[in-house]
Amino acid sequence: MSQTTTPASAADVFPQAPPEKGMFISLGPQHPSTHGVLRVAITVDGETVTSAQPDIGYLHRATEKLAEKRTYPQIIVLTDRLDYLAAMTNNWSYCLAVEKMLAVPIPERAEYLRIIVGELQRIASHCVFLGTYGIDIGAYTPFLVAFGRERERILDLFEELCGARLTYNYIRIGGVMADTPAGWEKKVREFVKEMWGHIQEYDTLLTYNPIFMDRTQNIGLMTPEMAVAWGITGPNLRATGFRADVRKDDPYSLYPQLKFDIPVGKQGDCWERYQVRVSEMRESLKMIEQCLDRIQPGEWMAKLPKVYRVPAGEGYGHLEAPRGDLGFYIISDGSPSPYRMHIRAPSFINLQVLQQLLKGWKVADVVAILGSVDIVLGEVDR
Amino acid sequence: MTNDEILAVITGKFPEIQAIPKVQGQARGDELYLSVPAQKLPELCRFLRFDPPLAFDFLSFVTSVDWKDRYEVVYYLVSTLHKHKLVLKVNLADRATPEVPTVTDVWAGADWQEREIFDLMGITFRGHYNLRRILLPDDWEGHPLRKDYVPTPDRYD
Repeated sequence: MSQTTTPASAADVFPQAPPEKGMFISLGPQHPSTHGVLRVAITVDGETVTSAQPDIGYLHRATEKLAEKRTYPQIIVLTDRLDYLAAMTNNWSYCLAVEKMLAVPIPERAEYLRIIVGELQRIASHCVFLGTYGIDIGAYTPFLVAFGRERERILDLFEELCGARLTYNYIRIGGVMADTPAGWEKKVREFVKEMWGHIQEYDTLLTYNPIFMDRTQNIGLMTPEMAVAWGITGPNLRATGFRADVRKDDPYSLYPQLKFDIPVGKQGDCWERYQVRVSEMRESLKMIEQCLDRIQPGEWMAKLPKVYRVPAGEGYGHLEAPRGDLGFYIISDGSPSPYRMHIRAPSFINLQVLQQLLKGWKVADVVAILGSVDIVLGEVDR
Repeated sequence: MTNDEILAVITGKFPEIQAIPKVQGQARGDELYLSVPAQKLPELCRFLRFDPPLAFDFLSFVTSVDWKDRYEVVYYLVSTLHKHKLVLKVNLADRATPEVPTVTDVWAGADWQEREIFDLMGITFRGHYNLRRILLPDDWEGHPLRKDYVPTPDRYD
C-alpha cells in the first residue's frame, strides 16, 4: 500500500489531474469531525480515497504580522490564541525564545512552576484529544469523563492560579506572572493522585475497547522515514517508533533533572497515536510529582528592569508542546517590537502529511485518521 | 559533530559557501549559520540530507524575512541521528521578482511552508509542484508580511 513508502518528493502525492472515474467529496469546513474549520477535498474511487487535499486558512488572524506592531510582553497574549488547548506551552515557547536573546537567568521556583503547568496542560490537551477522538469513532462516554471531568479540574486549577481558563498569559518573560495561591500545590498533588486512577479508567473505557481497536488498529500506518520527511513531531512521530522528544534531545528548563520515559509505538497506526498520548499523560504525572517534591519557596520572576530592550539579532526557542515541536523564531532590530517573528506550528506541519496518509484508505477511515493526527486549527492557520 | 567540523565537511564539497560570523553584541543561537547562493541551494540540500556524516534529515522550519533592500529565506535543519543543527540563509537581492529553488524534493515537509512564504511574503519557489496561496483567499492582493504592504481599510478602520 502507498502509505508505507516514503515519497521521493512531495509532488508524488499531489493529484495531477481530476479523477477519470470516482467522485469528489468536500469534507468540511463545517463538519463535526474536522475539529474546527478545516476542509479536506477528497477524491474517491468507490470506497477508496485516491487523493486528499486539506484546505486551510479559515482561521487566519495574521499573528506573525500583528507581532511586528506589539512590544515583546504584549505578544504573549497573541500566543495564547494559537493552540488554544495548550496556551501554557505557547506562552512558554515564546518566552524561551525571548529569554535566550536577553540571556536572563530564570529563578528555580519559576522553572518548576513552568514544568508543573506545562505538564498539566499536556494532560488537559490530551484529555480533549481522547474525548473528541472517542466521539469521532462513536464512543461518547470518554468525552464526558476526560473532557468534562478531568480537564475541568485542571482548568479550575489554572483559573485559581492566573484567573483564566483558556488564555492564561501566565508564563512571562523572566518567570511566571504570580506565585501560587495558598494550598494550590496541595490541590495539584490531590489531583495527580486521582488522575492515576482516571487514566486506568480510560484504558477500560476506550483504549482496549474492542470496537475502538477495530476502528483504529492497522489504520493510517506511518513509517518513521515518512514522518521525518514530512517534518512530523510530537506523539505522531513517536507512534511510529521513533524516539524523539525536545525535552530529551534539546533539553530546556529543568527537564534534564527529571526522570521520565518517552513512550513510543511500533507501527504508527491510529491506535498507537492514541495510545502514545495516554502513556504520555502518565509520564506527565510522574514529572509533576517530582516537581512538587522539589519545589521550594522563592522568587518567581527574574530581576528585569521595567522597560527593557531585546538586543538586536535573532533567537529561536522551541519546546515539546502537546502537539509536537513548537518553536518561535524572532528577529530583533533593537526596537521595542520584533522585526519579524515566525512560529513553527506543529499542527500546521503535521497536517500536511494527510495528503499522503489518507491515500489508499477507505472513506470510513478518513475521520479516524484525521482525528488521530490531533490538530488545532488556531495553530494551523495562526 | 561540532560546528567547525560540519563547516569543514561542507566547504570541502562546496568551497564557495561561507559561514556567517556572529556579530559582537548581537543575540544569536549556537547553531552554525551558512550563507548560500540561491542557485547552489538544491545541490547543497541534497548533499546535507544524504551525506552520512551530516544526515540533516529533518527540516524543522522554513521562513522568510523582508530586509527592505532584499529578501532572505531561512532554513533550520536538524539531524535526528547526530542531533546537530544548521541554519541556511539565502539572500534574494532581486526585490521585484524574488525567486529561490524549491526543496520539496529533498524534504517533503517544506511543501506547505514554502506555500505559506509564497502567500504571505511573495517569494516564488521555482519547481514547487503546487505553488498556490494557502492561508489567504486566492484573489487576495499583495503579500502582507512584506514591510511595504499597505492594508486595505475595511469597515472597522
